[in-house]
Order: sequence, then C-alpha cells, then structure tokens
Amino acid sequence: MRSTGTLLLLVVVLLLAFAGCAGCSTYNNLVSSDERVEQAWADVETQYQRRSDLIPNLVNTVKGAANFEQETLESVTNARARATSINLSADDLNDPAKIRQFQEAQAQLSGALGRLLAVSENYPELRATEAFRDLQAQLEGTENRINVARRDYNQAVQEYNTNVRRFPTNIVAGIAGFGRRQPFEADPGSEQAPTVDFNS
Amino acid sequence: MHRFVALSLLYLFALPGLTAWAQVREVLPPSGQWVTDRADMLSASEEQMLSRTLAGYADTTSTQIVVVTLPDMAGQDPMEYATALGREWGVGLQGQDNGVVILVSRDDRTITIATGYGLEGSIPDAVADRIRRNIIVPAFRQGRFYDGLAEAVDALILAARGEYRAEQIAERPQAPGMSAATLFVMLVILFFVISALRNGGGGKGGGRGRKVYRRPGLPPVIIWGGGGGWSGGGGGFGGFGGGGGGFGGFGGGGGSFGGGGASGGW
Repeated sequence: MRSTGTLLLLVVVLLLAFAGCAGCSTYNNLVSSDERVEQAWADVETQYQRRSDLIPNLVNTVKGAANFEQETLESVTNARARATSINLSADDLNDPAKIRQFQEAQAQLSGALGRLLAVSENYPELRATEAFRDLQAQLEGTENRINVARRDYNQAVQEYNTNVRRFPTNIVAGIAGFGRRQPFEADPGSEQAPTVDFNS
Repeated sequence: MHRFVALSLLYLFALPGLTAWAQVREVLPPSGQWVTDRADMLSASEEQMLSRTLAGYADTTSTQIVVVTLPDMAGQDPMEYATALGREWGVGLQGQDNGVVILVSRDDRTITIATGYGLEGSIPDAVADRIRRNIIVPAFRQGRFYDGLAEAVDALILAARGEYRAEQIAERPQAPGMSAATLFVMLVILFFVISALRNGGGGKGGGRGRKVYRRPGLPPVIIWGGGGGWSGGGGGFGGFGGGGGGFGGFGGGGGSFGGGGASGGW
C-alpha cells in the first residue's frame, strides 16, 4: 500500500516536471518564432527604405532629361513622402489596419514608380544613359528584394501563427499573451515588379 | 508505464523540432557541379574549363559562383528562380553569404545574376547589370556562350575581390606538412615500387620470417612475414587511374540570398 502511494506520488511529480519542461520549451519556441517575425519585418522595412532612398537619385537623373513630365515626377515624390511617413513598430504587427495602411502607401509608391518608368519609354536618349540603366537595375533589384523580404515575412508569420494557435502551444501562448501577427496580403500594385520591365 | 513515459517524453520534446521550413518554390535539385548545363549551351571541355575556374576561385577566396543553364523558365520569374536556387543549394558560405548564381534560360533568352547577401556590397545590382548587359549580352548575341560566361565570371571575381580575401586567409590555414592525399599517393607509389622489385626478384617468395634478397646492382629488398603474399602484383587499382588535375565539385556552403542582382534579356 505504502509503495503504491510512493509510486503514485513519483508519477505525479514526474508528470508535473514534464509539463513544466514542456511549458518552458514551448514558451521559448514561441519567443524565437516571434523574434523571427520581427527580424523578417525589419528586413521588409529595410528594403522599402532602400527603395525610397533610391528615388531622389532617380528623380534627379530623370529631371536632367529634356522636359520630362512634371506631373509624373511629382506623383513619385509625393507618394514617397507618404510612404516614408508610415512606420510600423513591432507591436503594430498585430494590427491588420496598420499593416494595410503601410501596404497601401507602398503600393501607391510602386504605382507611381511604374508610371514614371513607363513614361521614360518616351525618352530614348534618357534610357540610353548608363546612369539611368544603373538606376533601373537598382530599382529592379530593390523590387526583387522587397518581394523576397515580404515572402520571408509572411512565412515567418505563418509559422508563428500556426504555433500560437496549435494545441497545446495555444495554452502557453494564451497565458503569456502571444497574439496573432498579420501577414501581407497580395496587392496588385507592388506584388508584380513589372513596373521595371525593360528589354534592353 | 515505461512506454507511456517514453512516448510522452518523445511527444513533448521532439515535436516542436519537427516544424519544417517549407520552401516556396521547386528548383533544380543540387547537381554537385559548378556548371550545370541543362540547356546544353556549352561543350564538355568548355564546361570543364569553366568549372575549373570556379572551383579554383572558391578554393582561394571561398566565394562560390555557380552557373546554371535551363532550356526555359516555364513561366517562372528568372530572378526569383535564381534566388530560390541560391538558397536551396546554399551557394556561398554560411554567415558570409558570398555566393553568386548565374542563371541562363536559353529559349526565353534571359540572363540573371543573383548575388548573395554578403556580396551585395561589392557587387551591387548596377554592377551585376553592367556585367550582364556589357559583357554577357554582346557575346551571347554572337553565339559565344562560353566567352560570355567566362568573361562575366572574371568580371564578377574582380568585383568581389578583396571583400573576403584577408578573412579567408585567416580562416583556412593550409595544413602544414603532408596531407592525407599526398600520404596516400606516396603509399601507393611505395607499394608499386616494392611489388615491382619483388616481381623482379622472380617470385621466389615463400618461407618464413625475414628474408633479405640481394641481387647485384639492386638495393636489398626486405620482406616481412611469409606465405608468398606479394606475388601477382599489379591490377587491383583500376579506380585510381586517370591521374592528376582533378578539382572538387560544388557542395553547398549554406549561403543565403535576398533577391539582389540583376536580370534581363539578350
């Protein structure tokens, strides 16, 4: 009788220890997958930042071309100003509205850039310069980087959200206050980098 | 009871590690080659020469450049494909991300140079695109595929030079003294010398213990052990032939790519 009691106690203690270990490791997993989301978001912002850093240069190069359409240039400059005014912190990643706002501003900039490059088709002497071609290459590379960074971010978010919602992780997540993160949705403006489609 | 505990342990600790990292896109499986010529744009000897250059370059600087040609892109974006391939194959070293993928699609006539994270500084997109449009495109338009690729590789090497060299020297010191390969070759030579001498000795082997055969004009041959073991000589080493000049294939170093580089038509 006594031995059964001891055995039972032992089992209970063992189970509790396992539960504790499991809780800790689950928590740690959540933390690291949360970190990955934030890292991926930082990459996304870096790439968007990189794009807006290129724009003054682009605008200056294009301005040099004889009577380039002012309207197009202005819309790029304005869209850039709007896009750079929206910065999201890590906490905003739970908020679909803020993500959407960010995304819309960037999509507008993508659209304006696309128009600028389309209009530049009418200026063959501009397109022939090495400076403009270099800028095109940089812009295209930046669009590619943005796509990659966005995809990586979405993947990190998906992994994280799965973690948060899956049993038994969701118990730990609920206790520790891990909420869902918001992925990017595909938007027609910036998903396609065709904006920079050259047949040089 | 034991099984229950074991199972729950397995469940609790092993499961979180099983979440795999799904890859977005299917790319060519790693070929283990520096040059993977699926579109058959290069002759065998050209492939060999280019591979030798790339292997040598990776050896001295640790920067890995792989060349892949495809018949067509099957509707996939070449830049995305090259980036995914670079990641999948792990071109470049882990942590340094110093890899480059040159992707040529024959029927779509596109050339893509994807640079790893670590080379975005020394080979910015503008430089990659200049290499594409000023070096590769003119050569390709004349049908000189090897020249275009070889010159592009040279240009990329020039562009990337200096970025990792010093670190590389510190990181990979040459092992002093004899390498395993040298030792092996020496052993093989020793074996052939001994067996040749032994055969020259005329198969008098046999008997026990140490014997010294002395023939005029030849050094003494000392044979340990007994039982005529050495006779027959030769043969046996078929796989070894072909000698010298080999270079290693491409093995992924774990480098990563973030979409840098340039892509365009020819």
